[in-house]
Amino acid sequence: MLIRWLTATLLVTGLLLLGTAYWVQAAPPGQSAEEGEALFQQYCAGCHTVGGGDLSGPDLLGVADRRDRDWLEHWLAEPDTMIAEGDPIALQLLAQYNNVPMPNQHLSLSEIDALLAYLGAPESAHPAEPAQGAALAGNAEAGKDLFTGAQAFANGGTACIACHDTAALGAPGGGLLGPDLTQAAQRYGGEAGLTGVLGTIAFPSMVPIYQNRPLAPQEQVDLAAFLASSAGEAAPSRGVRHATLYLLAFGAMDVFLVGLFIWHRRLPRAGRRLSARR
Amino acid sequence: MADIVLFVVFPYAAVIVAVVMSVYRYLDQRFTYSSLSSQLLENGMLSWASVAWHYSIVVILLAHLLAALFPGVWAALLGGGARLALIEATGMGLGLIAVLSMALFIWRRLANRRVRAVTSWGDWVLLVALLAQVVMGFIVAFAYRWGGMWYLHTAAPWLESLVRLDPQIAAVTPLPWLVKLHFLGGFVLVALIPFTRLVHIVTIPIAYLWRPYRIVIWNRRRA
Repeated sequence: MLIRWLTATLLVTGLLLLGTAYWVQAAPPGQSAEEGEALFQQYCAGCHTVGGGDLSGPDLLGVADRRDRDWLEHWLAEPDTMIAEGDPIALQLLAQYNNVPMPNQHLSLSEIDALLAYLGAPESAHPAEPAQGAALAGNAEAGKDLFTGAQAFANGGTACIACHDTAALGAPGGGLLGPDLTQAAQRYGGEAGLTGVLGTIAFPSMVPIYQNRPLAPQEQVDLAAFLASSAGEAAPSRGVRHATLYLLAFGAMDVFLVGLFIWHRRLPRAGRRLSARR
Repeated sequence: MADIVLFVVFPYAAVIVAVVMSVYRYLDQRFTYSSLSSQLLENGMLSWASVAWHYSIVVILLAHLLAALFPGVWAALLGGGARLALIEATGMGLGLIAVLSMALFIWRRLANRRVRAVTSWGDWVLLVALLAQVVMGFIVAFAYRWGGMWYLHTAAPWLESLVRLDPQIAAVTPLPWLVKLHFLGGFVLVALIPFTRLVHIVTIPIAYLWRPYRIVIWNRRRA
């Protein structure tokens, strides 16, 4: 009886697992140009337009005619590998666009199909939409407060300082998990380009954080203005930054150590008093 | 796949082992439910190490816990240059105190023959695991500053998703391996709770705060 129960339970769980796996695998393939447009907005629009001119990446109007499909599929799937392997077109594009490599967005095959359907469709040649930030003026001071977290982002995203440093900050500076942003404005096509990048944050490690907490348009231009304010400066010295933090951390430790010594010197004295009384 | 095992399966396994085996130990060997103090064997070094360790590690653990529970308050607290540096430096200072005191704990058990005689393999595993965890914690805090802030959108949502039984690991997988190792180390320590003297953390002796003091009086001179 027990064995039959066990077998039945195992069978049911096994079937459930198989069913779930199949259901996940069999998600409908997205190949329509509409889905491609949504994907484009999510992953590409930070650096590319279709018919709106170059940002930090090239305008993709007519790209489906310029390159053959195999190359595009490969490029969308693993741009990092293609650059590493020295693909001639990839290297030429890299040099042409200020050595800003296209990040690997880890797109699935069906997502790539959908994107190519969108880029190849004639109606995808939208007239240039004015960049959202163009009408807004950026304020570097407000941008600094957003960067350091003194002013929280409206949608609750992490303050930039958690992971990024820039010469526009004093020591001990910003975080080190992400790249230094002193020259971000040069790398991403000035304030306008930066505003675009900040509008659709596509860097893989940032996507999980900002996907549901996008930056507001005013925040984008303020941050872009702040980041542009350090353009032309050298990146801050790592050594100086580390030394400052080292002094702060060990200084704090010394304060606690002194506290510990004070606390300990009191103990034996109290003990001595007690034993003397005895 | 490896990430799923490390950041979903392993944490759940660690917590389940900790809960089930702690209950089992409580039912089976209730008398061992303590820190198995060796204070009577050696008290000089212990008082230095133990006081420093417990105050620093309790504050550090509270910071980890409160940041995960009240991320909004924590973000507001850390927002704005000077306060961020001050709070982070305080944490790092406490971390260094924890490293020093754990090293002293280990030195004490190596150097004092009476204490070494009562030290089990479980104790050594625990001491080394704790030292590794606090050393990694300090290095992560220092080398990948400002962890107090990025914790709120990496580890905190991951832990929250584990609690909600809807595991999401996208926020932790892109992190550097040392950071991930520190996360895993936390769950290794959770799993060690029922098998070592670490079980004393669930005996939280808060009654010490208000119970009447006791004085130990020796009838004869100590050797």
